Amino acid sequence: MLDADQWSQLLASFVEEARDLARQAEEYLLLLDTQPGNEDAINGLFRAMHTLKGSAGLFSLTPLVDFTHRLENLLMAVRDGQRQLDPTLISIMLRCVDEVGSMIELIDPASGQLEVDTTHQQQLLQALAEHCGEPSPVALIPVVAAASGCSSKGQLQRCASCEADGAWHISVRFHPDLLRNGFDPAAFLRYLQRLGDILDLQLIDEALPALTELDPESCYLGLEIGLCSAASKAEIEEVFEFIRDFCTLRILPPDSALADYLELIQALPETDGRIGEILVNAGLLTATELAEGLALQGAQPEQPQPLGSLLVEQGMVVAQAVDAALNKQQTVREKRLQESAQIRVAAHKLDELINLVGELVISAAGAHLRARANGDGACMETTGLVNQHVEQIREAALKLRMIEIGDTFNRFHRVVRDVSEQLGKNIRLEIRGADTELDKAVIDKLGDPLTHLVRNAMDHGIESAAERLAAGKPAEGRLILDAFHESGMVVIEIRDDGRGLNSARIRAKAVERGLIDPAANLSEAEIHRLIFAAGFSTADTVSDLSGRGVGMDVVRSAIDALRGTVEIESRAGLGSTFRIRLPLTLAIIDGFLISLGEDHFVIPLDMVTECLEVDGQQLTGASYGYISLRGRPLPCLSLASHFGLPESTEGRRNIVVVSQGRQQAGLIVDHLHGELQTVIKPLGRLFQHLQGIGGSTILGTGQVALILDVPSLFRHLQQTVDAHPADPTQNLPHPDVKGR
Amino acid sequence: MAGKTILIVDDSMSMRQLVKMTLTAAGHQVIEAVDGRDALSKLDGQKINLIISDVNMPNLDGIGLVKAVKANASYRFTPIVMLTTESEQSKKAEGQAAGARAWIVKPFQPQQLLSAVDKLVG
Amino acid sequence: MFQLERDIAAPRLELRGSLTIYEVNDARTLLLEALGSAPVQEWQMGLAQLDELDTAGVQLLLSARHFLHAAGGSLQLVEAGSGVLELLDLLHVAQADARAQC
Repeated sequence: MLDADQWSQLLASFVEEARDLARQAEEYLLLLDTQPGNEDAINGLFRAMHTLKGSAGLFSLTPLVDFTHRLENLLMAVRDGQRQLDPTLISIMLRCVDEVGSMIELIDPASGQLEVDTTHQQQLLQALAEHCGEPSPVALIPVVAAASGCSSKGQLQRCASCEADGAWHISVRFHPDLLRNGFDPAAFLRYLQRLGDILDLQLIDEALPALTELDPESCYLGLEIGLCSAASKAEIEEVFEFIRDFCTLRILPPDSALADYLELIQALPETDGRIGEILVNAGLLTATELAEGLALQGAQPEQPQPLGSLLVEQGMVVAQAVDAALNKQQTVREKRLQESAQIRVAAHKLDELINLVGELVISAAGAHLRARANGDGACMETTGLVNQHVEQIREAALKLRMIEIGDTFNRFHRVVRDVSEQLGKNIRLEIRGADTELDKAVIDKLGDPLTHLVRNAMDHGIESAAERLAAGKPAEGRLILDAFHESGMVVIEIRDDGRGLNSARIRAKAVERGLIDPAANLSEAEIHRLIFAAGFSTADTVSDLSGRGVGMDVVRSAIDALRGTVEIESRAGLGSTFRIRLPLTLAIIDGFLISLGEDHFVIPLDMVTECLEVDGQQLTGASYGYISLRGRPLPCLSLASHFGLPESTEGRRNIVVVSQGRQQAGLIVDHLHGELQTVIKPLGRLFQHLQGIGGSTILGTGQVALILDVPSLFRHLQQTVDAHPADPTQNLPHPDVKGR
Repeated sequence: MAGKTILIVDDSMSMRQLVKMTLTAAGHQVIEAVDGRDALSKLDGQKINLIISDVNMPNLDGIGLVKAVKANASYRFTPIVMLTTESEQSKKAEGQAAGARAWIVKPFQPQQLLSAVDKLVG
Repeated sequence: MFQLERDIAAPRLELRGSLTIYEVNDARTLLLEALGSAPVQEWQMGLAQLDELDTAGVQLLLSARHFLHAAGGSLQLVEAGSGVLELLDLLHVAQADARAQC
């Protein structure tokens, strides 16, 4: 039998499967939106709901079962051609699938319970019914006190609905004082018959003593009743309302879980065999189930642990669930095999592996350095080989974390659809570069900024159909999500063909908010960049689409946190492009080691273009300046000055040229130490606001090196460059091009 | 099921009439008493299946009636339904202590009364 | 009012009158008297003259049956009138004693 852990695992598997199914359902629905006749999609959609319902039933997740049952019925009609999926119906169904998704998330992973407020589901079902021109669906919580519709009434036979749903099982044990207080069980029984058909009844007289010991006025009796009824549990309880204090009442609805019956057996005072026999005869459980359940009970430690305790519950229910789950997994597995050979790996396991690989990288580098320091040629060769292998492992490990951005992009189909509807605009989403891979950690954190940018483009960027037509554009607006690799980074673009940024308005708002001096002369690009400033928003009304108070500055911070950058290209009337650049991975870095005096720094290798050697005398010692590189001015930053370190007085200095997109800059450093690869350790909270530092790492020597946050250095440099543009007449220092 | 014999005890004629009409229409036989004392006089050996009694009555109120009925050997097992108003909930406790086991709150629907009767003696 | 009539020749009792919670105490005494002397028998109880029976009465009869079973005898309930029969059916009380068949 399975224990609590295994039960949890099974439940977790179900939740995972359910999430998948809900996602599939959404995808099918979106597909059917554009291809209403797509039979594969219709069948797939029906199957998804059907499977969901079945699985939910195994775990007794009643609200989920009930809801998906309704959806399944509707989809059956669609599948059989009796109903069409028009856009409105699809919209409602999408919300229903959302609701299913929400319910899945509400399943308590520890207890397997699902408690929901059914109001929202009722509303959705109502909307469905109205749209389909049907009378309102029977409420999920039945209210009617109907007389039994049982066709076998009076015949003490199971009717078709009993066969289908089973009968109520009512167990009553009377209090000894019941009779002397003037109550008669017969009266209640007769009243019960009004609610339905009593299919079986057992008078329990186990506790009834023989004549000699009997107190005739006390009640020693009990009843086990099988009732076929459309009534609710509350209505059945109401029959016994006057004697609630004089009996122990247990009511099991039709189709109770096996565990419930076993618990009942345990809870009742008579022998298990006796009650079990009654339940088996009533068809509520099979003889096998009874035997197994009782055997389990026997095997439990002596504690009066109710049979319905978690362990057995799991055991018995899971026995069925396991079979069904195994069967399903078999089919799912076969399907998966057809589609692709993939394995699900727990994210934390992967993280552990990456961590260890990171440590391995450091120790291997350390070994190699030591060999080098010792001048041991043979050892250097060996450790060099080790380093090679470690590099390969590192590559492979990091690749494990890479996932295609396609999944993230695809989610936006739904967002664009919903928001277009909300805004009354006609917008089409195009996705490109879906197979571009990024580190999972990066993708996870990308969702929010992307969403914001997409909504922004839809809200402020793309005009209404009327406006577009008036401007000579097609009525349908285009929104493009694109992703590709460029110079060692991942680039993600959000392009729209809308009205573009309104520079004048941006400038005006910035002045209004005191962000710039009214007299300042800014280039178009500078003005555009202002929208990332804190507290900036050009929306006249706070549209809840982009979120109150959540401005572009939050997007910017999120991207900063990913060691990325965001830039804007916009042309009035034509549209805007937001371009996000991100490092490929957050975990391990290929770096270029440099030093300033005793301090070591690492520059991300993929940003390094070339290295130059320059005569220290030629440098003015200022913190920034220009040098001439192949006839063009290259803005340079003195790292020592930037970090407040003493400027070197050595003759030969080095400049590392770094590039970001089309921008280039030179970093003036003391010594170059070549390439290395190492694990990034994030900065502690205390240091997170350090300008220009994006992390730290431990060198093979054990020394700490700080990793430069090149984008932020670029930004800093940009500010100074803007303030002091290059003077073309100035005679700039010439470096010696050194190469990498 | 054959009709039962029910004793209604209430000093309000309209209440007695309402109950009588409701129960006789359902096939039961109804005996009326105007107060507790009157009710006790009906306990003369005839078969009475159920007593429905108001609480506030002159001469002998509902609580007193309950105690008396419980003390009467031939009627001690007869179920008694008290009719109370919402504000008389404190009486409910008293009645319970005396031996009353069922209550209906006034004003009640005739159907409610019938259901209660059926559940208790049906 | 409850009465028990003993059949001299056979192990049979005729029940008369009412057997409700009001009568069960006295009835139990009478039954014990009648059955106690010869429990190892296949007894019958004629219910034709019983005009009122309630659950307390049924319980008493069942208790009598238990008593007889314990001793090795049995109890059959026979000739029940419609009212009594209705209650016995409602409570699924077997009139014919399964034991007696053995």
